[in-house]
Amino acid sequence: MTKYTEIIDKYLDGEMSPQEALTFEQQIKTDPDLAYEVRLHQLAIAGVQHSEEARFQEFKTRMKTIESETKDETPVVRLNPKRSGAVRWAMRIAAVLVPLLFLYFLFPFSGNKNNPLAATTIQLVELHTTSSRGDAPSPQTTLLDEAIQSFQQKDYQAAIASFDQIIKTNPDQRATALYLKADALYRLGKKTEARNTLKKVLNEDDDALKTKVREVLDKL
Amino acid sequence: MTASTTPKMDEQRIIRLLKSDKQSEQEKGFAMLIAQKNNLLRNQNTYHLNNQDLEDIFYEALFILQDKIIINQFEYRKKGSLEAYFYTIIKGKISNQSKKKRLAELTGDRASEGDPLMSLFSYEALERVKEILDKKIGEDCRTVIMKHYYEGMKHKEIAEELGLSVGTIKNNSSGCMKKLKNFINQDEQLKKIIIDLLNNPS
Repeated sequence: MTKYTEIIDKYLDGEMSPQEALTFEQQIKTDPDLAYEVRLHQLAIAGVQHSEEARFQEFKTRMKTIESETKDETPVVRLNPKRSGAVRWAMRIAAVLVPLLFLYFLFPFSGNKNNPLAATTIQLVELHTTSSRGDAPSPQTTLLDEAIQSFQQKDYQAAIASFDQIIKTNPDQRATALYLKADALYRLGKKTEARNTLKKVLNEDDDALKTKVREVLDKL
Repeated sequence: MTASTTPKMDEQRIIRLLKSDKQSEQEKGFAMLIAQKNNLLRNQNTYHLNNQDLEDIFYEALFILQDKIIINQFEYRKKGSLEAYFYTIIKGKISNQSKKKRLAELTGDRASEGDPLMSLFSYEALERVKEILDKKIGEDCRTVIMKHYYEGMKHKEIAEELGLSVGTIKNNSSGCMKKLKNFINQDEQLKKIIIDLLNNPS
């Protein structure tokens, strides 16, 4: 027993390739030794957490008391004090400019003005962000978040690797992942691969996205 | 409309207060850190944890920071280093929480409120593991296990903190985990709990 410790750690540390991770997850269902060891690992980690739990709960109660006591003493400040005319005009101008700057930096995707995929990419990311907000995290939502983060940081190779994993493992997000992967390929200059990936969206169930893809394919 | 003001972090003062022998001084130091809670957690929630989990992580990070400051594992070098250090602890805890959820989901267990793994086992079972950690595996192993699997520190960070090579820590970490698991496996009651769980998943 315990021969799988490194493998379980490798999986949890995200050091496995998507294929390796998938094989590992399947193996747990068929290999009783591995299934036992995963339970053993769970108990060990739970025990580690438990060993500090009593001290932590006592500490947390103490911190909560400090927090509630200091809240009552926290000074307050008016957000709308009386301002001069010039300051009010400056604030009005800022009120117009700041949202524009915010939008510019929020959507680094829109940098490539000649990219016909960019507009739908922004919509897909917005849709994902809005729909996953407040949800309990799952490996799938986390993986798509990571992929989008890599994309936003212009690390398209890493984004493509994550999209591939989603395409293989999660039918619900496959259409989105295919489209975003196509955009990443396009940004890397791999237009033929981008086109071929985009065509695969047409085999998915997302009708709205399929309509967008047909429009984009005409422009590629 | 009104809003709370957030005083700037006076890091040297916070460290001095936390190191104080007087409880009232320590509490002042904690109050100064708690006042920064929203600032310190902002943009840290990469795994979209709920507010309750995130708040627990903040207090756990504070708990770890306190221990590290008291035993002089944190050395103040320049302005901003306490804040950066605290961020590292929060990040480690958030990543750890995510790993525990993945580990629970590997066996099809849906994480309930609080710790994703502790809810799978009885209090008695967890106490028996605690006893192994406290009495059987040795202080060095306990330290490495706690840093990696409780604090969520990376091997490189543990190596830097303990002044050892990354390779040594990597070997120690998995070696000590194997040792802990072997002790659990030798405990017939714990073994039975695991087998029961395999036969009757929750």
